[in-house]
Amino acid sequence: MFIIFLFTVAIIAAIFLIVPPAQGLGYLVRIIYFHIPAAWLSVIAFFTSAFYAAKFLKFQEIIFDELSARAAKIGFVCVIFSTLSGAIFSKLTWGAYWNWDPRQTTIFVLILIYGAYLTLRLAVTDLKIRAKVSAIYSLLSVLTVPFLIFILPRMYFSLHPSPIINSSGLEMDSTMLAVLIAALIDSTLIFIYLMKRRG
Amino acid sequence: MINKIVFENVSHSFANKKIFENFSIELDAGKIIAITGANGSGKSTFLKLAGQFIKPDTGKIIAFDDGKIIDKINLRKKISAVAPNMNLYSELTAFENIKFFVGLRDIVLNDTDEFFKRVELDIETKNKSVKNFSTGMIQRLKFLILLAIDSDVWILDEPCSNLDDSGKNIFLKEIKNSAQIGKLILMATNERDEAKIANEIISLPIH
Amino acid sequence: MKLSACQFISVIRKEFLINCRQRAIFVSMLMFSLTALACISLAIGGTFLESKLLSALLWIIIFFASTALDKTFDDEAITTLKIYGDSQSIFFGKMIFSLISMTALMIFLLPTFLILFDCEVKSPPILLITIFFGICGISGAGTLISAISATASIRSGLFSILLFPIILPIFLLAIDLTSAALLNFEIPISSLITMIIYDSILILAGSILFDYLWY
Ligand SMILES: Nc1ncnc2c1ncn2[C@@H]1O[C@H](COP(=O)(O)OP(=O)(O)O)[C@@H](O)[C@H]1O
Ligand SMILES: [Mg+2]
Repeated sequence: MFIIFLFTVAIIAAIFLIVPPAQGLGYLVRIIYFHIPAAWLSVIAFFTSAFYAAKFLKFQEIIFDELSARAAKIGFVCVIFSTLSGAIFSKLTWGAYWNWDPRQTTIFVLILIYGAYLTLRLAVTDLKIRAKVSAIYSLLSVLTVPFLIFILPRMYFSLHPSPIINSSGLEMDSTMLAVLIAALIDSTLIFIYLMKRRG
Repeated sequence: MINKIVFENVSHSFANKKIFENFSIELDAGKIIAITGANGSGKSTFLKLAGQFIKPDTGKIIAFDDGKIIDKINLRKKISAVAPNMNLYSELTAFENIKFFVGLRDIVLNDTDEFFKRVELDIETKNKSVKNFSTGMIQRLKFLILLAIDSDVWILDEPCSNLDDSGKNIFLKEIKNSAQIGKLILMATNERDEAKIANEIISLPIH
Repeated sequence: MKLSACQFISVIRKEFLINCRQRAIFVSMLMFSLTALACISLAIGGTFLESKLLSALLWIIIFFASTALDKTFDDEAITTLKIYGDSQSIFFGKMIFSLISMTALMIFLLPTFLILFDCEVKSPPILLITIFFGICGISGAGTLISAISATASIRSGLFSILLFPIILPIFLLAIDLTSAALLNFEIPISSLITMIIYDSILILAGSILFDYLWY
């Protein structure tokens, strides 16, 4: 726990002190060190939630339902944060908050799924039934993912820097990449910590 | 045939209310087993647990079919029931209701008159819409469906509610006969004369 | 997963009988989608719309029409059904009945839509095939979602909220295919295949997951 805390502080320091301003973007490039890990976590959390949903259906232990719900809640916060930071970044680089690029659309769909899942949890009051139906919904929603990954890029034209950052006048140097990878590892550790914590 | 249903250290609660705690019992076929107790003591919950419609919080409920354990999906196929919250379709006629529910168990019935006679329901009512039925007539119709399905386990939750005396006598006679041919009969009741025909009485305490 | 023909037919026959007697169910479903259609067509008036937009509108209307499937598990005798009914025959019986009602609905809706928006369909077979497979998937997902939303104590709008993300792949593919059918562009055959695969997966998963809900 303490180690994760130190690691996080170190990374935040690195983001503000070490990382060089990117060409054309200046210090705004710092946003991506929050944006990319948040997007990453929202996807990880989505699959974690579905994984525990499957475990719940198999073993019928209420603890798996709690874990599934917790992953979904973390994922929901991350997906909102990632959308907001992405929109700001998008406005600054491409001039519009929203572009309907495939990745933005994917995140948007994730918001819809998370939103639907959490609404369902609020709407069902009986604990045992709630655990069952939300697990079922979680698994059903996972099915859409491979299809959306296949469909969305064909329907919406991409502006996104790929694979991580390039084109649009942005070059990743080794410091940036190192800090970014560290930030991804750190966010994953925070996620694992939050999942392991009791209550 | 289902021989017995066994409760092993079953605990079950709703919200914070414990209904059963470390409850163990063996329910054998061929007997009438009555479950008695005050309102809210858990009679209906007991029946739902026995039929594996709900899963206990802890402990096990096991059903034996010819001595072999069967899972809840196969058990479900051998259960029929009469309970207050079991509605029928009010838009359908008595005959259509019977045909539908019996059809769900792969039984094709073309002549239901015999069953109408057994529960003493007027044959005239066969093609009448159930929404015009009295509660007692609906109760007889539910019992008729149970007789027509003729399954191994009978789950009866206050089967004689809303019935007149002749209705009660018919039901109790049918229940006794079926216990004799080896069916497993669970009956939740609060009425003395129903409990009187039981071979075994489980009385649930108040919480 | 075994499906007995006798049980399956019993379920469909029962749904037919009840829906024929309570015509209000179907009539209100029809009027609801016609209202959605009227709403959009009056708002847009006689403006020329390109085919992409037209097909998007058509599928928005179909989506709203499908909210009528919400009622699938508002079954009067649901407890009795749970005691006597087998999950698979209930799932497929109700699903096929939903598909039949959606088809009946489309028989009214599609011509009205095409007339009101003055559409010329270059490739009618593709349009019909797209609509058929689109509503297949919607009925499959709708049956399971309706059973889920029936367990909720607060239900307003829940069905649509839950259904939309699940049928989004169908929605996007169907819009693509429909606009191709209107323009007689090259038919994006891969979209059609993807849609059929997704339909099958949805129905298969629906039938497996429904077991967990039923028992
Ligand atoms: N689904 C449920 N949710 C919450 N409480 C329930 C539920 N079913 C039963 N109970 C509670 O469990 C107790 C026993 O109910 P029940 O088995 O229906 O009693 P009985 O049939 O003996 O009158 C009651 O206090 C009731 O409030
Ligand atoms: Mg009771």
